[in-house]
Amino acid sequence: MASAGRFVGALAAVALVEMLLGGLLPEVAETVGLFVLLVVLNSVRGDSLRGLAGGLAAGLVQDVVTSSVLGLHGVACCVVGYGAARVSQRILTTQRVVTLALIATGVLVHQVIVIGLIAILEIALFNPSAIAVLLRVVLTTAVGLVVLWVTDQMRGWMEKRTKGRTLETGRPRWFRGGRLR
Amino acid sequence: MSERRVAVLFAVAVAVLLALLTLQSPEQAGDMALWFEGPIKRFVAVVGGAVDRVREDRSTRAALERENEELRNRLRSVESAYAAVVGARLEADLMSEPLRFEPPPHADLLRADIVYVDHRSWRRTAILHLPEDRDREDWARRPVTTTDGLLGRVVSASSRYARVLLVTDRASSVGAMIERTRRQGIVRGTADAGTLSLMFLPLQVDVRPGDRVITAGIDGVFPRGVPIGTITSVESNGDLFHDIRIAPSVDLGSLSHAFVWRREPLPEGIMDGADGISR
Repeated sequence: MASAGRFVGALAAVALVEMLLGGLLPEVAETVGLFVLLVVLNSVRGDSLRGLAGGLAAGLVQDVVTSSVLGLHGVACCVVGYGAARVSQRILTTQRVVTLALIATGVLVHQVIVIGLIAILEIALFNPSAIAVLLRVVLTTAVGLVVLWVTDQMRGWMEKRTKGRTLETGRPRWFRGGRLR
Repeated sequence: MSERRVAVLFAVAVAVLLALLTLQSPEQAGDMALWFEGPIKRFVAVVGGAVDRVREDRSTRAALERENEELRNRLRSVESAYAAVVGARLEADLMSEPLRFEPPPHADLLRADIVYVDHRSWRRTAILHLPEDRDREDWARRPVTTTDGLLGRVVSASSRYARVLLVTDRASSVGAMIERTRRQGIVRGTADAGTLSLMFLPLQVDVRPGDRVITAGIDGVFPRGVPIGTITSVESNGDLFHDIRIAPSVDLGSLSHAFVWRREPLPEGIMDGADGISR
């Protein structure tokens, strides 16, 4: 439940950032796939149902935020989320390089699906070049690297802080006096 | 939730999203269906076509085998007939040798273009354009045929053109015979432009519709054996002779080329009886 809450919070944050980038720096918003990044990171830390649900939700939100055809990014993120979750169940994703590879593959798969659907359904005049797709994969993976580093740093800082407070009294701060505060 | 159920859920979600996408562009929904459906239908069509081809090939092969067998039988009969003809010719040569008989020389044919045809008016004639290097030849009374049969004879020639009196003209007379019975008569044109008449065949002579009529070679102009036409009707109108109608073997409505026979006709004096013989 807590993880679902964290995902919803992260999804809201990504949507907000995407909207801001779309208004201020549209080129950056088009180049970095923040929603895919969120979907992959959510999937590698959970089971396939979580990956599927997260991908579906993130994709639909992306469709709404980017004003594209409803379901376009939904399908792509759904496939990426479910696929990343299934893959992460079979390989060790504790190493950062594996997670980055999953992110890169996820972005690539997402782009392929989106471009394929656009071509089949002739939804809009959107025909990115191979270089644009490659740039999106590289930049999103780079952002993912930053996010992973920041997350690890925060986790380490939190653990250190929790450990320090526990060492002062032998008990957590919220357990002083033998009762909950 | 088990992985299988999640997989089913995943498939349902993707299907619903794709349906949602196609609903937003209904004109493309058909294309997308075709995208999936097309290869399947093409595969079925290819397989069906292959099966049809195999079936057709089998029936064609059977028909060809039948036709081949029939043609082999006909070839055998033609070969035996040809062998009989060669034998008869050898026999005729052997028999004619003591008699000192010499067959008439073979004629060679000159191809000429037909530049004018009038086969329906009072005077039914055609005009030929003669070969360039034959300016000085005497073309008068030479037979003219086509690949189908007798066309007529040359009646006059001037520089490189020759007028041909068609066999259907009422002034035309050709010594003819019925191929089946070798009975001879005279073929003439009639008032009907597309019909000939075979005359002077007595009522007791066996004549049937469908009999082929060929030149008899007895008129001093036409060689023997050239097809004239086919008998269409045989009637007796109370006279001593049959009233026989013939359809010409040459289609006068589709003439383009003709062949002039380079065959010396009988001298005029002999034909007219002015050869000094007195009765």
